[in-house]
Amino acid sequence: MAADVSVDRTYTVDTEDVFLSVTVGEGQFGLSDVRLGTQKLVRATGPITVRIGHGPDIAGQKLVVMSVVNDVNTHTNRMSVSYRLTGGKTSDAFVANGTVANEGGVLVFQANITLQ
Amino acid sequence: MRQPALLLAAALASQAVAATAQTITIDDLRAPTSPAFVLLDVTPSSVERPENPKSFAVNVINKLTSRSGFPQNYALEVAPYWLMSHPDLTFERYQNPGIGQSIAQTLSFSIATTPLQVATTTAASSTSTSVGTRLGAGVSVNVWNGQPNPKIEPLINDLVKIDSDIADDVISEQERPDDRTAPIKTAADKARATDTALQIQQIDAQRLGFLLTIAAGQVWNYPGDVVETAQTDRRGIWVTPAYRFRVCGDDLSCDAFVDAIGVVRALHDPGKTMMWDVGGRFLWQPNKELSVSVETLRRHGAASTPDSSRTVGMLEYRMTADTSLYATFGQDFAKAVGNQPLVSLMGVNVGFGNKATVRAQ
Repeated sequence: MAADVSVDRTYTVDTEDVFLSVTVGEGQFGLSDVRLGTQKLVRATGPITVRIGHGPDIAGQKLVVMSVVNDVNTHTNRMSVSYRLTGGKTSDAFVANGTVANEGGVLVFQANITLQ
Repeated sequence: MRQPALLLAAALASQAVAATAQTITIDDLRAPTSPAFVLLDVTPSSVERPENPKSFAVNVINKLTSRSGFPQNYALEVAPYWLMSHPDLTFERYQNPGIGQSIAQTLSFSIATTPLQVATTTAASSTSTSVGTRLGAGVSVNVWNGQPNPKIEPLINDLVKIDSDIADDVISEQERPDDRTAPIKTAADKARATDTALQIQQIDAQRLGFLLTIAAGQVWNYPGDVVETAQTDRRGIWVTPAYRFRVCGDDLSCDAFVDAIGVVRALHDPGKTMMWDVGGRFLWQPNKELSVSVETLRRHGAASTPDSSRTVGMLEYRMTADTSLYATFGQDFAKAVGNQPLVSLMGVNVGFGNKATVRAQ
């Protein structure tokens, strides 16, 4: 199954360690799963920050961030997942947005980040 | 010329209904208590129970009647914060807001209309006729918004497991696209997640502990529905501290609540000195459907009638997920002519929608 909301991104590493922060917004609840290639780095709820690896070691690999977001907020059906990458040539931050059609719905967000 | 404020209200109302075409399925429908309704004296209760506002809410009291195309006894409430995106608002911060965040999340504006009545008294009878429209505008905010209901915690733990299953399902589907059973399992797990999320939404509206609401409003009269004849009428500001607790302690299966609510309200009518209402309301909610309350207020001030007080009982019953019935009975504040009218009000509160619908990006 393809994710409900997908984002493709390229991030240029440097000589430092690369970190990723993921935040599920809009007051909604979510669980995020972060994988580097076939290696599972973390699966957790709430805002997470994870060390992806040393820049030269992870260059050329694919970072996949999957977030399962639930509509638990009585005020809005909006959903968003914010991503922030640091430690590369520059910092990068982006947001994926979505909206559930029905109350209590679920969306699966997936960010596919190519590290170069 | 039709008054622009009424046209604006009608436009906003139609926009709200269009934007919220989804059906209400959550449990927090209540009798209308927006500040605009309170000042117009058409709310079933004078002591509002603290509630979290919807992004858009439409309340109809008594009935919709269309006179010259505009419905009467109609209120529209808007919470601006929820009309915008908040990618930095985490679930934790939403559930446990500080004072600033609580104000932002609960600030709501309301407008309401009722007929402008003129009483005609003869020796034989007393009649009341509508000669225009009263328009009320109000603002309300929960400065202190209590604590999350502890019943949320076990549901969140369930949701973590279900979400983890969904993540595994999706990964499995992506790794084995030919497996035809995987999508069925994903759909089933998503249905479980939706069911749990709806339970969390329901409990999200039942915050406990200390809540403090501040509200204010202004009423204008429009005799003949003509803008040039607009008259400034009553205005007021009030503070509503409340304490809500579960009556069955740590029993998580319990849905019974008690609210102890106080109110201090300053009211000013044109050409008169300030009046003060001081009182409270005791509300018992034995289950999700039924709530019973008694309220009493004492009115002070040079402009009020001596010994003026209001004591009413109110019963509210939620018939379906989107319809609630309410009835109020008691004695209202004494009028200037000396009589103390009966409060007898029955109505149906119908939800048209509760959330703004926005397009996925």
